[in-house]
Amino acid sequence: MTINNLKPGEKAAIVGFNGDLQLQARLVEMGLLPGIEIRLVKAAPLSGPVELKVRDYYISIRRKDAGKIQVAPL
Amino acid sequence: MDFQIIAVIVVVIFAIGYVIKTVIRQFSSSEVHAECEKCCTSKSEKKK
Amino acid sequence: MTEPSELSAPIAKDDRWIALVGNPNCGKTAIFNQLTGLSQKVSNYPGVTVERKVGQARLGTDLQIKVLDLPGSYSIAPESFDERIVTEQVFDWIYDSKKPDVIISVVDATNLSRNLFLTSQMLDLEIPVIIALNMMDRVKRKHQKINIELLKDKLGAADIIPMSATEKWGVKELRDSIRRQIEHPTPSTPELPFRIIGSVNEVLSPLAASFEKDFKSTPRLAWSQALRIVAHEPVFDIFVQKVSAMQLGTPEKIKDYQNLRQKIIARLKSLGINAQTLEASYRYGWLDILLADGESLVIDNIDDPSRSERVDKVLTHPVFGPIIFLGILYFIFHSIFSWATLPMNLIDSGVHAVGDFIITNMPAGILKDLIVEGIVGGVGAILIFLPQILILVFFLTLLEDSGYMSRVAFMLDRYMTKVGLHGRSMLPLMTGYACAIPGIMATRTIESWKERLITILILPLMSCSARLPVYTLLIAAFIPAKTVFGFVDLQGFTLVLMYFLGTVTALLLAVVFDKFIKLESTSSFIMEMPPYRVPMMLSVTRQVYNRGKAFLLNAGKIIMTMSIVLWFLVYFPRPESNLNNTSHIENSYAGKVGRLIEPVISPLGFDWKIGVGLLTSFAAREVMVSTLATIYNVEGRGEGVISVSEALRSDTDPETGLPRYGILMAISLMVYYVFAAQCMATFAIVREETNSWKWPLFMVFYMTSLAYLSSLIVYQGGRLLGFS
Repeated sequence: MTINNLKPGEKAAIVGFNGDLQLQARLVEMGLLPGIEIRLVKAAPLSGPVELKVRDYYISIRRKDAGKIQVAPL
Repeated sequence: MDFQIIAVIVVVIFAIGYVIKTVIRQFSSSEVHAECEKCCTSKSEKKK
Repeated sequence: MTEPSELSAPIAKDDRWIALVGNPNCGKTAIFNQLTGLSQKVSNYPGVTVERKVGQARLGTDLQIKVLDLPGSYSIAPESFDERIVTEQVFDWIYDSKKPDVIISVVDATNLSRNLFLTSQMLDLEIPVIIALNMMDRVKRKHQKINIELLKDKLGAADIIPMSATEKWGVKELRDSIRRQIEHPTPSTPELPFRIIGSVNEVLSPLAASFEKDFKSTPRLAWSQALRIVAHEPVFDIFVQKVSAMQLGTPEKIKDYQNLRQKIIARLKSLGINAQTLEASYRYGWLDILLADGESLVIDNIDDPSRSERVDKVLTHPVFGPIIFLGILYFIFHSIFSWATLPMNLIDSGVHAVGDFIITNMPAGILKDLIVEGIVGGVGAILIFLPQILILVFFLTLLEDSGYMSRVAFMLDRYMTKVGLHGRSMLPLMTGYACAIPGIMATRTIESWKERLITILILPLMSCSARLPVYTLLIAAFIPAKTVFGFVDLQGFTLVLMYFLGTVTALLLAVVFDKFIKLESTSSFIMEMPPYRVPMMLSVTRQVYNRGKAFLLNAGKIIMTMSIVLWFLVYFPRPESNLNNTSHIENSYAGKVGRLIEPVISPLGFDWKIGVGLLTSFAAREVMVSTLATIYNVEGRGEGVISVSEALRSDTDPETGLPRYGILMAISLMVYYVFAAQCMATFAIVREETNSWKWPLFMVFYMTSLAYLSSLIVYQGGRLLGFS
């Protein structure tokens, strides 16, 4: 499953990435690595970006990209 | 000549010079609208 | 302010300098300001510093150093134009020996692990790194502790200074620490702090060995570079660029590096290892273990909602969020009109008093005419608008400093991508309401070139503060001051409508440009959501003050000189006989020029007086107002300084006895100002940012056509419908 399968408030751990390598480099530099826990905070309307809490901060990414981050529910 | 006439001639010539200078500077480079200079952080970097 | 280019010049031996680096929004610029005493713009939006800036800092009585502030970045690997500056700068330090004496790595203490990632990259550069542990006030407020000594030893930093830029403590200690490091630099360990073992070591070691040999690096720097260059194509491009430019390697050598890199990526892939995540995995692996080691750290539980998160339940609510945003915009533009009335009247009476004083106390003559009609009349007409501009800047600064603009980007990204823009386009576009130039500079944080270009192209359609005087003058003169539907104040509403017209047209054009501009575009939206902060009053005041000062300086320089020149052109040639004033002005130099272009603009409802204003507006849009002021003051001589809106309303055609201007002309002229290309400085900046003449010329073309056609439709259409 990916981040897009999570509901607001749900937590999961990052497992890996599918495709789009450009984006992946930036995400891992910001600390979104396999093994790290995230919480889905909210999703903007009409398939807008999602907001995550990861480490000690909040980050938003587009749903298209969130769909490339594989997670395992906690 | 009247003092006022001389003063006006000097002021007008100075003003024309200043306006021409400003127009040329605006066209030539990254010279920024005086109103914007402060908030633009600083002049944009010249590309090499 | 010092020119940024100063650093490209070779630095003399005794010229000490330091560099400030850090993640976006970590408070770097606030620390820069406190070190240098400068007043660079700080805000609460990631990526406000889009270029490098230089200042001077004094460390004690005998030591003055240069301080370089770099754009915020998450890594020495570029994703956008502003981050590219950081990578290029670091490569200069590595390969061109123009090293700073000390690196200050600014770290947000509430978000340690992510901030220390960049710090760990900086630690590899063989330059002493002082960590400025900023935002300690918030760590303390949460009753958390960080063991500074332990952290310093484990990281291998030269020093760690806990501080708070907002509460203004720790800067003195930072200065002292910089001084100590300049005098006695702490040597760094020549090995990476984490071990690379097994097959990865085997695969990477030829590359690391080449770096060690070719550039005489320490093993630490060589391995650090190897990891990064394997991971990022753009970093390798910058490496090639620098090495060729500095003639450090032959083309064959560079080819060798290229082949080696490809081979390594392929071999890592065959081992099931992704080269792109390699560096991050090693560094975070090291940092996470280091920070997890007991007493040195703070870690928030990801379960805990922060205060900002609770506020966002309302402010970024799927339904209420966008409505609140539109409400805020309406409130801002409307309050520009309603709140400014009182101070504007005060300034207006002040200007009249000055005019009357000169009229009664100065002997008659041509100089008196110049001062009253040209200078006091022209400049006074513009000064009135100072309160409006201050109110606008105040609100825009507030939105940005509070952290709200990141939320706007988040909420609207979906809609912005629909029209070919990006969530990150919102801040530059909103900045455009103040002035297009900082807005265009702010587009540097948009990663995709196509989206950035479209944002730049439509940005001048956002009504900037220089249009405000023109709108206000015409509204005050021709739009009735009454309330419709019981609550809508017609004058304020008209002003909002003009902003709305520019903004909506801009978004529609973005769709068109998106269709016609053929550029490859891969776009993503990764944005940190900073916590809400109460804006620092000092910072807000400084922004407002700077804008006010710049506006007054502009009025003092450009507008005053323009008014003087214009007065001359309106005043001369003097009438020989007893012609009345009106026809004298029509035959003046300015009148002749105005009448020359009258045929072109009369279909839009403009006569020669407006025509003269349109010409002088190329110096600055607001000069339109002072131009009309000068014309009417010369015409109505001896009566004291004239109210321009009153003069516009009562201006009649002597032949027909009908008013010259009506509401239709006012709307047509406002619409013209919404669209017209008038600000040459904007196009100079666009030329710089796009590095071509093509785009600025295209902008002049499309904006002028749009302005002319829209005004034509408004005026002629209005006449057909029976308005006048």
